[in-house]
Amino acid sequence: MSGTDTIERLLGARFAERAVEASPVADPGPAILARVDHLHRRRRRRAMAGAGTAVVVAAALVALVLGARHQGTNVRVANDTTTTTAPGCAVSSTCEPGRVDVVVVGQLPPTYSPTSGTGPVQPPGQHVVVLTFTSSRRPVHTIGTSTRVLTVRVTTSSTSDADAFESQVADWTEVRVGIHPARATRVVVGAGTPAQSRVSYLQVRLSPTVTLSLVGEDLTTDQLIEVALSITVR
Amino acid sequence: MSQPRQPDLAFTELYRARYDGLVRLAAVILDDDEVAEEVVQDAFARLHLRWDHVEDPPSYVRRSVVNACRDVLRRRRVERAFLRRTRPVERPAEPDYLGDALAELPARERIALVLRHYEGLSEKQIAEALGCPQGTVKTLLHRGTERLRKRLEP
Repeated sequence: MSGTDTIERLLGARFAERAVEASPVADPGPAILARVDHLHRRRRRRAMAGAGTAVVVAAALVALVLGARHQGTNVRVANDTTTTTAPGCAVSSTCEPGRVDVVVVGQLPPTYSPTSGTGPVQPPGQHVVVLTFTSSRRPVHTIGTSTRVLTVRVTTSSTSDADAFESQVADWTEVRVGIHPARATRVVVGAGTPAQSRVSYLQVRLSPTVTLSLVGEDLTTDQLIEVALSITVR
Repeated sequence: MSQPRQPDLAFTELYRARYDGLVRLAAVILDDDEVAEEVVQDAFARLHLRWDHVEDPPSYVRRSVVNACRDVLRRRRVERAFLRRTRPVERPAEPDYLGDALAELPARERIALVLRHYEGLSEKQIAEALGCPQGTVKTLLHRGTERLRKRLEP
């Protein structure tokens, strides 16, 4: 038997074994079917209104609760209100149909300890800003157990010393967006480019909670950070 | 809820008939059950929205799943390259040589091998699923197998 035959035999066995292991979670059929009628009705409504095919008019409900925790700055988006809970931090948001713009100005914790608390342990010299969004509204695009698909645009800039911030943020190496930090979609952004031009378009499924982590190296602990998030519901 | 329309019934039937199989296919390609389910659900959601314009729904949804898997695999390679640069590699207790070799394959080669050896598709069918000429499929299968053979040779 040739080496190629052996490989093919191994692959066949491996794939078959893997397929048996894959057990789809409880059949989401009823859930997806329940959405069918809704989707059709919405499509008809859109056609009648001449709204085209790509626009989902979903007034996003926004609220921000900013809290500086040991691992970073946490923001919760729940309702159409804005709340600031941490001294030295400010949050603003705008809300239009189908779009949520969130601007967060937070301060990295002055005594960040990479090994304390329950947050993700980061190597020394790294800091994480965690933004957690919670939508109180059922996603329009819910289908089965999945959730809505959003486009998230992430930009970073500074409100204090722009030059210093830019040089520090130039070392930011990754942006994660996802349902849970461990399962987040990670996008590697190029190092050395100006923070203002650092724009990442990400496809995420926005579950009730989405966490966005910005991991930066060599950030000073008193650096003011502005993170602008633009979320467009499609 | 009102009575489902005829296209909805057809969609429902297709969903029931193909969902599990496609999740298994995606799981074999991606080696991740949860992402596999997401990919397949997204594919069905897309199919549903374009139902009136799709000529061959089963082929469309399979191609959609394959394309989504390709995107996931590509993203994963970038992630792995980044992690390799920034973090020390952790050696697992029990090495999985075949799994590691498969993970290193380019997305299209891996998908072509899965479609061939798991789904049992012909080169023509694989070409349709991947949206490429049949000759390219031959090359992908050959290169993929050769790469694995070299990696697994003692």
